[in-house]
Amino acid sequence: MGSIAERQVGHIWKRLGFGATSADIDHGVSVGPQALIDDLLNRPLTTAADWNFTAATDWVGQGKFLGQQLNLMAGGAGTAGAANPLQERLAWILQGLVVVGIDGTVYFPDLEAHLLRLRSNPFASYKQLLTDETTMVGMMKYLNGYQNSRQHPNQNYGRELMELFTLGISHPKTGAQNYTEGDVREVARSLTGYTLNWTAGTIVFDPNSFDSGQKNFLGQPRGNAGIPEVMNALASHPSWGYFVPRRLFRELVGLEPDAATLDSLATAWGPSGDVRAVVSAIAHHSAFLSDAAIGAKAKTPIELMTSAAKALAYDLSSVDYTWQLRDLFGQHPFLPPNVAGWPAGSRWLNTAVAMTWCSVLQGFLRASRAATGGVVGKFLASIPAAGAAGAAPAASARLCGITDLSNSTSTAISNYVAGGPWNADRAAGTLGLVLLSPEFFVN
Amino acid sequence: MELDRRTFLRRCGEIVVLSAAARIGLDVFTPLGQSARAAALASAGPLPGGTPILVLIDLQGGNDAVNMLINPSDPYYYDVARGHGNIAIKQSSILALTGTTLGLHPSMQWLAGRWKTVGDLAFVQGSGENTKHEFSHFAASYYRNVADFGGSEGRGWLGRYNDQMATGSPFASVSLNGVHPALIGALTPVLTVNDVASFAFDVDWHWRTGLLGAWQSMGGGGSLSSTMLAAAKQNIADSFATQSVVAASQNASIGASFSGNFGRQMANAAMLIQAGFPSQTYVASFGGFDTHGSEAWTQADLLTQLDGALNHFFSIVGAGPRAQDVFVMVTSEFGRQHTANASAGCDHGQAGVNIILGGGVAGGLYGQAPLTDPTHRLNDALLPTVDFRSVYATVLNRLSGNPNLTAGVMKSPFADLGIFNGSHVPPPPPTTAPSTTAPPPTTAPPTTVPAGGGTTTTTIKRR
Repeated sequence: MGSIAERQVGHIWKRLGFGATSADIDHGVSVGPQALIDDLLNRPLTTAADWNFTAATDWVGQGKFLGQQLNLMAGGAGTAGAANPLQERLAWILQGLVVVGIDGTVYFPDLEAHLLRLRSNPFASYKQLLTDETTMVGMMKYLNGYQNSRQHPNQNYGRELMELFTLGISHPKTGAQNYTEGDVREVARSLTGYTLNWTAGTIVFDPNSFDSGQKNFLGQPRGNAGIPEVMNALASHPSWGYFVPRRLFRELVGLEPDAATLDSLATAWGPSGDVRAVVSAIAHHSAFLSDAAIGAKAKTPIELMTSAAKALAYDLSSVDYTWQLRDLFGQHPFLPPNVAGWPAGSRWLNTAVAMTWCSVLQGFLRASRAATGGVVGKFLASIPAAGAAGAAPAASARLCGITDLSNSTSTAISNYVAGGPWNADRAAGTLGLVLLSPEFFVN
Repeated sequence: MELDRRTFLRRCGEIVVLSAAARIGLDVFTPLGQSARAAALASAGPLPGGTPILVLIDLQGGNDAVNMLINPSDPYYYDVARGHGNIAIKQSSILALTGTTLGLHPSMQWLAGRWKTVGDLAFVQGSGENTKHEFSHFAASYYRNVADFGGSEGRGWLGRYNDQMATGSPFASVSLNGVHPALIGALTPVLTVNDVASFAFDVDWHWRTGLLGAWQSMGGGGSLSSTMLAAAKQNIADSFATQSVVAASQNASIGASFSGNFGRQMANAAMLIQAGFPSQTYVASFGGFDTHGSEAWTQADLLTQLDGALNHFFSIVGAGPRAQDVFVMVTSEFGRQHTANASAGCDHGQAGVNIILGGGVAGGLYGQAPLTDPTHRLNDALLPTVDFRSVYATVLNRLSGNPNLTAGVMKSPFADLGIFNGSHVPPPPPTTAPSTTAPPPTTAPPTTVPAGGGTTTTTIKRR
């Protein structure tokens, strides 16, 4: 169905953003895949002033914030997210990597500050990001950093900082163990001294709570180490250049990087954790546009919603999707299941997601059908009634950023269109079928 | 170590075949009952009465078992410097386990009553692993889910079971909160039902005519074991295959009697079981047990929810025809350290406690309480006395009635703990003084073989 360029362009939009409209596909085809990649890599950053989040003071406000974040990710026309889809994609990857979630102690303002920090320049130094996050209220609460004292160190943040945020349990290439339980304890000692002023909602350094003894971790004495020494030690660890870059490669490409690729990404990452350099290397890597990479991932529920909203020009803040995301889909952006974020892969191709997506989608279709000049109306007008069954599959797929349809999907759509008069309702149902197709579930 | 069918298949290079050991099990010993059972599991018809059913409850985060199954005679329990100290449960609040020196957390009122009145409640003490001594949630959960320490296994232990017992059937298993990794197999999908009441095809009537038939036809030609597109197709097919059966089990009064996310999962399990859904394996997951801080109120709240949901669940199932078939197993990826930290919590530990209760269970204490004196701890964690894989083997023997099949799924024979046939020998009472029995050998650091090849010696720092 689609040409190679179209397939690659559709793929680029899905991986370096959250999907495409047919105009996005057209643009990408006209400039070519490589130019599109460079375009997306080099767009100006958007800022909090562009995002225009409404301050949230209660759970209703939190639901509104959720919808606003989803709209930015969907990048519909008129939202700041359309200006820099890759910034949205990277911020989302970071949200599932450097994890803070709302729990008994983390309040929404704490999470909001965390999200704003992740979003502000996700291309910049990862080391700086973690340094900042270490003393931010959200992370301090989520992983008990403010309870970590000289008298009894709390190991939670120190452990997860190494295991999940920087090194992993073992070296991605060699399999060597990255740290010991002793290292966890010594790093925890080095991160002591921070307490929480509950009234002001701020983190305060308390010298009395700080363990000012000598520490020894990750293979050598570290003196009276504190946060800077911990970060420096992590950044000089053999796994520093491998763990997060490998995660970025898996996220963006959907395949495992080989050893040579891991080495080159480690070089690009450098001591500062240069996200831009690594993302650029990945996007230009031959594996990125390979046949193996195209369609190698499954859409997570968030990707189902944002990609479909983009295609249908649907306002994701028009409904509070808290319940659906939390209880039915199992992927609420503010409520990761644990500090490891959300699982990846074919686990999202499950019956609960399929059923829930069908239900959630109906609201999108109703809104688009009712909107004056909406996508459903435009689609209807673009296809003459005579021959609609033949023309509809390819046209509807392209509208939703899909460039290839299998025969069974195409036939199913044709049969559906042929089963009734060609009108706005049938046009809506046709787009619904595309957004329920196996091709849409794949990313 | 992400559990994902395609990752596993990528590692194997091609489509999975059953392991040789499993094949031998099937060839040599296939009792009539088991074939009939396998056939029943593969169809949509009601599960035959007498078929054992497991509801596995995964307490995620590392439940502090020391504060759940309590030994108030442990000299270190109330010790501030070397035990739970200020987060230990006051003696007057502990619920007695009659006939033992142990007690339960005050939140577990129904379970304490069940112990006294019914006799189908079992606790396996000291459950854990002495292979890796894994302190990471994610690695420990992985090992618990796959019951294999090689590092490359992508199938969960119950997934491997269903791959044999109900190959390819979309009814084989029910995951009640997303896809639980213990259920992931190579050949068998995992039915995910986050909410029975919502497990319906909700399509706007304006465009509904012909839409569901069209959607269903897109699912043809799917497969679990090739491309992501094929898996997406298979998922559509599975959704249609299972929807009416799941929806038919909807029972509003059961749903209304539970509360909370975890309660909803148990309600969904109860509905499906009551309706005869043809699955032997249900998995619920209940997060929040990672009590590094503020353990007292967190654990109390969570255990109250657990106790309440079990109460409701058994009141429903216990009144039905499958009362003798259904049993629950409660697990967690590890216990917690014995000494409380300054945040009124405990950090990651090792040995924990499994709860098994319900149909066929001979109630009592199993396993052996771990030694608690500080010289016998590992990074302040209590060393396991029972390999959790024995608990799994015991459960699989109950589900299948076939020890050969169990050994195939578990990749080697593990002792049946006698929980289901009452043949166990009660464990010795918990010891408080250093025992003359040697602790599990840890003087020679175990050698780990990481997935990437090569060997590394693990050094375990001890206090």
